[in-house]
Amino acid sequence: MKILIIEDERKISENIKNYLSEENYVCECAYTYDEAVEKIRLYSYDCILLDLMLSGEDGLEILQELKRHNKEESVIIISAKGSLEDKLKGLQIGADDYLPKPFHLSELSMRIYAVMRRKNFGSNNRVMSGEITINLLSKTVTVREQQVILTKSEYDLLLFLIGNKNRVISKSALAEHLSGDMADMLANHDFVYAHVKNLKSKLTEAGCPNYVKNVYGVGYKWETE
Amino acid sequence: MKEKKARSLLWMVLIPLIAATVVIMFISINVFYHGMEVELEDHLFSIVEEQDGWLIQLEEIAKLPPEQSAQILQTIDIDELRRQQQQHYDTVVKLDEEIEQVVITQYVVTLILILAYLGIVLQFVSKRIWKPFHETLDTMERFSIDKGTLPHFEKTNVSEFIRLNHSFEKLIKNSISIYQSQKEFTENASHELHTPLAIMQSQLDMLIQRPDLTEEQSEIISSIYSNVSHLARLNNNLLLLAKIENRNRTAEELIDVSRLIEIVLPNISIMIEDHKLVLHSDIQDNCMLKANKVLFVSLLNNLLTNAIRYNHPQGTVQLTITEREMVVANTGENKHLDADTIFRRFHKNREVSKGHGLGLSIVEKICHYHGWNIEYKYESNQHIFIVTFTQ
Repeated sequence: MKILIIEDERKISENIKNYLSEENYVCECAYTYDEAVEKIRLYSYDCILLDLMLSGEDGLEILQELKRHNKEESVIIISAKGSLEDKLKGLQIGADDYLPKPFHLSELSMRIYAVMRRKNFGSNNRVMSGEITINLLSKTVTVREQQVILTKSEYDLLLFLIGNKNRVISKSALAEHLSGDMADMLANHDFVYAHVKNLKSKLTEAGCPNYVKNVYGVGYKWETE
Repeated sequence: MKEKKARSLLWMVLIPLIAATVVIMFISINVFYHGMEVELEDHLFSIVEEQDGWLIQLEEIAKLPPEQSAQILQTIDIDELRRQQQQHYDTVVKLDEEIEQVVITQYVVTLILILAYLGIVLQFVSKRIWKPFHETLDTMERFSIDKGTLPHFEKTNVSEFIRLNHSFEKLIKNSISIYQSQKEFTENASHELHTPLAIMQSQLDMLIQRPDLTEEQSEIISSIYSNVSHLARLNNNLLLLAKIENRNRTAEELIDVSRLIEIVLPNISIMIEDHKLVLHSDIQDNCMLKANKVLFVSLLNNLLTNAIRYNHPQGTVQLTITEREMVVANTGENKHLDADTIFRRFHKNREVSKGHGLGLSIVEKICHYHGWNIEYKYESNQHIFIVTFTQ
């Protein structure tokens, strides 16, 4: 899968690229408006990550350019311009998602995963990892044909872990993912621990090996091998 | 010290004028009265002179021989003289009374006329003269710096008022520009912080992927993580505050509160479970509210988070919404909080500083933005926040 990262901050661009390459995504970077437009015209991508604040240029124009050429790419806006107007405008023109900076790489990876899933919805509405099968339509989880009843938070947590498999996810990224709009109001992330613990025990009860690895106090990691 | 009662300019002018009028009238009336008395004296003198004439006549008669004098005396009509004398006396008394009456009537009538004149004319004149001043005053009273528009002062041709308006305009222009740049500073600063924060966060996300991290290093990273998160949250909330302050009332829509609550409550439930609290919500059916949706959600989230955060385990949170008001009540520390300071930025309860210190400021700003009233009280061991909607 090919991803174009349009972001003028090289450090961020580089980190996104490194993080996503674990997922077998092929990433290319564009640092300026012209570079981005050129790449979009020459090649085609599955997903484009678009920073709205490219030096001197309005990133929304790139989005319009894409739509003018009837390009099929999914677009996720990553922006420091956190204003709601920009979000609505972006989504109106045809962006698939909007992620305000600063974000966690694991959250970004999850959003890409979701956008891609929606795009290929007809072909695949199941996520499998080890003994676990998740039906995204009915939002049910089965372990060896046997259904496991999870709360909404636990279900989201499981998807997030699997969506970032083999990589360490920080506790704060998990907390922010689980709390959604409330993220800015949470002062501590201890509640993540309880949810992870519950999820773990439910899965092991259903006969699934423990795939959730605790990485010192930093976070968690989903490892099936 | 006792404060002096405020009086209008009209009164300040009127009072000394009335006092002066009364004093002058009093003096002039005395002078006039004395003048009249002199007149009266003259009249009395003429009577006395007439009597003197009679006396001389009598003396001359007395010098005559008795027969002759008796003859002359017989011709004098004593009664007539008595009558004349009485008449003189009556005239004098009447005159004196009349003068007194006339003087008093004049005094009263003139005083009333002058007072009426002063009252009416001064009222009228002062209204006309002070009209530009009152207009300026009204304009200034309507002016609010966060609207950011320069007030329009009515044209006037009185030089003092022209000066006043000019200096007001200058002052306001200055204040607005300072206020604007101050506001923009927060917003710009917050924007500028996003990028370095994003870099730090992504660097950390990469750093924890390294397989050779020791436990000690992990702990340090964990601590940096939570501080970066804290910084990011703080920044987002500051930005939100700045934005509420910088925007005019736009993007308001009719919100179906009951449906909105169904979206908000599941997010809250994570925290409710975590703190082992009980949440009661009582939302009026088909409750509609005209508000900015994003801000209303933020208001709800902030109030509820606050109610959860400063609660004790097994406590309760009660949410009541009607078309008229929203009430969030929670158990917690058995102490009345200082209603004046809790809405201030970064004012945190020192013993339990769990938040970022902006939540209630945001709540207050959102209420202010919509023109709603927010009130805090502590009643029967409950901390209660009441938002009164004005539609």
